[in-house]
Amino acid sequence: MLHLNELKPGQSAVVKHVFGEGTALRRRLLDMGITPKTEVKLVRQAPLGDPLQLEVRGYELAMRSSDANLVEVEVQHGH
Amino acid sequence: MAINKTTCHCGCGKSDLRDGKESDAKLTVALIGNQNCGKTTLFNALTGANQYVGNWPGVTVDRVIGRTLQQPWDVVDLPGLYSLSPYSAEEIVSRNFLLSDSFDVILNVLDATHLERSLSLTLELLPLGKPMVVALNMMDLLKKDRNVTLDPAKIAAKLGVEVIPISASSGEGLKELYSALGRARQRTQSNPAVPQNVHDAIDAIGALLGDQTPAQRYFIAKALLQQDKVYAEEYLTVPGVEEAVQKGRSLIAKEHGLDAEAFFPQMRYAFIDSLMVEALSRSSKPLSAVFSEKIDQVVTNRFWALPVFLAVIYVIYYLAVSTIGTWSTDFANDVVFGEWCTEAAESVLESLGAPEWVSSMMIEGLIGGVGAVLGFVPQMMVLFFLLSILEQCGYMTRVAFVLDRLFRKFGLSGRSFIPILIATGCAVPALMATKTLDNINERRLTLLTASYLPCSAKLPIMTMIFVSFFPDSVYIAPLIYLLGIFSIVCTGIILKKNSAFKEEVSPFVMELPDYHLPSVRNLLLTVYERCKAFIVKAGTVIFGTVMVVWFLSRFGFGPEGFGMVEISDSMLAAIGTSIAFIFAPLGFGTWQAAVAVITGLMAKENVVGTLAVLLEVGEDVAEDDATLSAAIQGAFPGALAAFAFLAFNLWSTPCIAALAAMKRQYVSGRWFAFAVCYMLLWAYSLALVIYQLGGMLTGAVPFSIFTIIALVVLGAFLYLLFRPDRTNGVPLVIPARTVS
Repeated sequence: MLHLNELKPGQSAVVKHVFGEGTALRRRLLDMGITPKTEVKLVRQAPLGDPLQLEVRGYELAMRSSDANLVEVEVQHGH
Repeated sequence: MAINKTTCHCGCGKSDLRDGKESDAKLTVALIGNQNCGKTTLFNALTGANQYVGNWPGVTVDRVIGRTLQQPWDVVDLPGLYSLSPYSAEEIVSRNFLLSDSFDVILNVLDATHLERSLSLTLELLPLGKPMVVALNMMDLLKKDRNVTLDPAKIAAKLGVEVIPISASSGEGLKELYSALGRARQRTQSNPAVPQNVHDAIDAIGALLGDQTPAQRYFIAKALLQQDKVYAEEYLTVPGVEEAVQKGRSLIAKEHGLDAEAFFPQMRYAFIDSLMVEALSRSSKPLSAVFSEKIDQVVTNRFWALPVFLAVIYVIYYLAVSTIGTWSTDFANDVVFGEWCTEAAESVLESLGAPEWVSSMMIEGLIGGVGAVLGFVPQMMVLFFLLSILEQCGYMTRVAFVLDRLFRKFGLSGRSFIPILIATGCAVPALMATKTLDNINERRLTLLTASYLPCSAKLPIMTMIFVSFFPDSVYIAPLIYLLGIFSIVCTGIILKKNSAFKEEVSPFVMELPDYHLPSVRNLLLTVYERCKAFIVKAGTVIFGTVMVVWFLSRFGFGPEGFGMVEISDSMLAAIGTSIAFIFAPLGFGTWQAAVAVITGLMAKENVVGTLAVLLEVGEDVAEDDATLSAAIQGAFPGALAAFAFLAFNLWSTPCIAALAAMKRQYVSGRWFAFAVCYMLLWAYSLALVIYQLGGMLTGAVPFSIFTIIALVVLGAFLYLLFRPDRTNGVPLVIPARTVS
């Protein structure tokens, strides 16, 4: 199982599942468009290694690595 | 809504005739949209400077209302939101407002360059059933971009509301927007993103909820399905509701394979995807996004981000603190208030033959006190202008991104760095600048700690003590700054564990908006609004306090009864004498030192002058004057006591102008009172430990009950610093995988 924070900078993947039912964080991630089947790219890490800069649905999003760990992703072959 | 039409009173009747439509005389528009979608720009374009800032009831969220320039309409500027979930004060006030009857039409702003994300909120607004107009902002950017074509008519057809392409920054499309708002009429509720069987489940719950309007019932029922904690408490006890909610949730799980919280966003984005296929064609990424990516390759780069940040900070500090800001403030203080106003007042008062106490009150109290506060305004203008550029061009969110890791360890944000740094020049603009922090916990902590690094007005006190007691020491000045950083870090670590500083906020999931040039109009309006707020609020508080302290320091029982006296016979001196015992454990229990501390609260610049007067050296001596040094050496029992005096002055509450700014930013009186008490306690404890324990180690202070108290204080401090962080309530960050 691969998580969003485990991607390498520049790597893209597709969201499979967002964990953390009942939390504000999960609701926020879903509201911001990190829904299953969405393509997400890890653009880069901040200078101190955390948070992460992501690209989702054509916009840039920052989130902490520990929060990104809630998102299970799958790297599509051919990407 | 007043459907009946009347004559327009603003002279725009002609355009009504031309449109062949009637316009409502009075309309309240609820303006809502994502952060960074140009909502504030549109609000400014619609309302100009006719804005009133207040607070939503019960929360520290700004409530901004403006009157439109072309119609007698009110626009309520709702906070920038991505959804109507119940997880922050901003979201809750917004949705309560949207469910109320207090407005007539929703104006939803979308960022045309980031439509997918913007439309998600629109789909949450449609089911409210209110008249609604969608403003498609930043269309000018899109039109310039040959890779992208967008058809607003197709979006309008799919959503069932009018969609008006605009450019808020250039004013394009505003006329069309006005007339669309004027003709927006009652529409039926719609929720195009949700399939019929889920609609039915929502309606089944809604039917049990009682006497709300259909739109409220629908919204609450949908929220209950998504385990909304705000409504859960209130409605799950209604007979039948819990069963209906369970039924709805299992229906969604069975038919769609998702839990309800994931289902609704999933459906919204699925609907948006199909809409985008119809309305938008793009051969590559929008130019604005490509441009931003290029900048971010440097600005958020692992190696370059920090140097870029330091360079930006240096430029701001240089302009706002070292050069323009200080020149203008010095000019305002020394020339405008110090000479022109003072001389003008003197000559007027003299020609009127005013008694001495009147001229003293006018010149020392009014001009000296209130003028000192107004003198900060030019510096604040420079600073706010620069900070607004950073905010509006999109760099501020990058600052939070780059420094988050470091600052969140002690409860602050990367953005807290800017106020803290500015406070080394002056705490007043620094505290006002905390407005850029949108996390309320971080803002409260930043307000409390920002003045812990000594500001420029505290430097003379430092010089005075250094010259008198540590003339050849090279480590003492760095030590002061280290103690300042120590105070910030420890205060952050101690307080962030407290549940009061764990108010639930939106998690740190933050959009990094595309960079764009800020509009001059927006910049100037922001500067104007912030300075106005400071002048009005700070001015009133300070005026009162200045007058009281002036009165206390100039009046007293002299040889001829009550009247004007020298400061040493004044009521202030009497107060100093009566409270001096408080400072005895810190080593400076003299009435002169106590009075200096009090006048220091007015302005830290006063400390040296007050001590000079009270020690009978004369008022106008330099802080490194030899006579003053000798007098100071006589006034304190030793270097440790002088150091404790310095520590108390540096780390207790800042001056009255800064306190007024702090009160304005805290909004709540209780929070402000807490901050003042905390700072006094912190400074007292620090000075106590320095004097008593430092004295015990060096043998300069005999062992006494206060030594034990200082040890207890130190123990309590260490306990608070290292105690485990017990998180109450819903944790914002939860370990993944353990749930599910």
